[in-house]
Amino acid sequence: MWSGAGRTAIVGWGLSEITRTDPRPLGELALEACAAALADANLPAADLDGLATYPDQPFHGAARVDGVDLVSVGYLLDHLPGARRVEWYAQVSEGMVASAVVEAVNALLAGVCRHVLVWRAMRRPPGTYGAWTETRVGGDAQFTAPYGFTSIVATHAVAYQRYLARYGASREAMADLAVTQRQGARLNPHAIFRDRELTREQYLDARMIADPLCLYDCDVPVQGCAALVLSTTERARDLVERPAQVLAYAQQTVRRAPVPAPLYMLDDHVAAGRSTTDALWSRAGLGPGEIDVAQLYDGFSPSVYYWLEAAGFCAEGEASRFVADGGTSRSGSLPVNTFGGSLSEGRLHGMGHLIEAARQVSGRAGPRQVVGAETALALDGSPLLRNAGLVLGADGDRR
Amino acid sequence: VTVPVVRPDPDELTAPFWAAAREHRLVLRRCADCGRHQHPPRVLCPWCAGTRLAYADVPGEGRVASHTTIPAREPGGSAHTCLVVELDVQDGLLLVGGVPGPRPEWVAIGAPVRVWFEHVPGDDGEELVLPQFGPRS
Repeated sequence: MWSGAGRTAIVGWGLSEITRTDPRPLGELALEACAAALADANLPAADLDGLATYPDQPFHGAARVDGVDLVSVGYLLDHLPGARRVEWYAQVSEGMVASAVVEAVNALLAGVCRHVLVWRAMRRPPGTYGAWTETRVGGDAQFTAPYGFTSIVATHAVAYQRYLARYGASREAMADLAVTQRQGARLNPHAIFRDRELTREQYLDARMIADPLCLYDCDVPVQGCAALVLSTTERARDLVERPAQVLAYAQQTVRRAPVPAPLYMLDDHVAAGRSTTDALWSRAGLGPGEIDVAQLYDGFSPSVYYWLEAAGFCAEGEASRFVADGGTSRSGSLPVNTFGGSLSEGRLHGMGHLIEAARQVSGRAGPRQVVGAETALALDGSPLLRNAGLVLGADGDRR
Repeated sequence: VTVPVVRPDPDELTAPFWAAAREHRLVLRRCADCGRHQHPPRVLCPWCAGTRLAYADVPGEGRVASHTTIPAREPGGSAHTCLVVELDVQDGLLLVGGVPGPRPEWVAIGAPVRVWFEHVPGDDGEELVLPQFGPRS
């Protein structure tokens, strides 16, 4: 077991308004989320001394105006009201925002700061998300884009196509996953689809985006920001009643075969995910059988299958059956994406997953609360890409 | 005929691939140290970090590893099907191809394919030659 297990904790969290389009600048939404997180953590901005984020936008051709298209560490250093004594920061470019949390945990354990604010601001620009405007392209994309292979959806579609063929799985099972997650979103006041029902029929009749992925297999691009506050567990207990202990973190470090980006990988996603989950189990001193609730990244729905299999919640090739049998519903053996996931809450790029995991083990998930949830797994990123994850645990003396 | 909206912008590392395509040859970088091919081309061998790399002709035969069909995005537009092809010459050596329209019958995982070369006229009179894949009986 890792010596850092349980020594840091997520204390509080907050979200800005999450919308499909918001005329307000992203910087303003980030400040709104950060103020909400600090208030939730009962932490005055004057006591905040650490900042960390993953600022990049996950689509082709993203503009990079700070405060408009992204919100960097530098932006918050310059703009966060009342934060006058920041002593440490980190801005990561690999491994999703969970890797910014990893950095924050390390800084707290190293004793270089006492409280770290981590945020993820997401921009939804006008027009088609990730549309190509270039007529010429260099780099890896010169071997894919001329063939119409321009979208990240295609990347996930070709991997899922092979998954379906290899295991004889059907698209129908995924309808259960999408519908179950939507039911969670209906109980989540932040979810973009909180007021919209989704039925199996709607899922199965939906238009294809890149076969076999339909509209409801893809997360919803949104504009907004989510933030959380981490402290050492000792200090966290002075701030809130039930902080969420960080029992383990891990990052995907697998060596990937050289293929043209955005292809990434076709078959190795379960093995790639396992490099993260194996490290989590070993550091937390827990196994998949001891996890009460899991928030599994679902930028595209098949990633949930890959994560379920990588983490050992079911055997390889069994995920669609596990989902169809109700295993991932709120009353199932492993409630998954209880807040709606990115499919139904909106594309907060994994931050929604991290926050829901913290809510569940803190007993603060409201109508979505999984009764007796003491441990939660949160995985940020598709197993095909660089990813990172956390195991969280309820605060208590038993550890 | 596929009419690509996006055309390649070759650099020093990739230009030989496109130049060979104009001669109807499929060439990929090969490492003299470990003998493995790479695609896309890299400055170091991604398998063994070898530095003795040179383009070499490869047989353009392989199998469909996967595919996806992307419907028309706007009214009056057309669907297209993307192929991922694994070349027979080396496990895991993947190239992308494209077929206009909905998925043709021959496009299925495991289907044997062979390279062919599509000539795409450009607005400025500059012709693009794209390696493509079609059924191999």
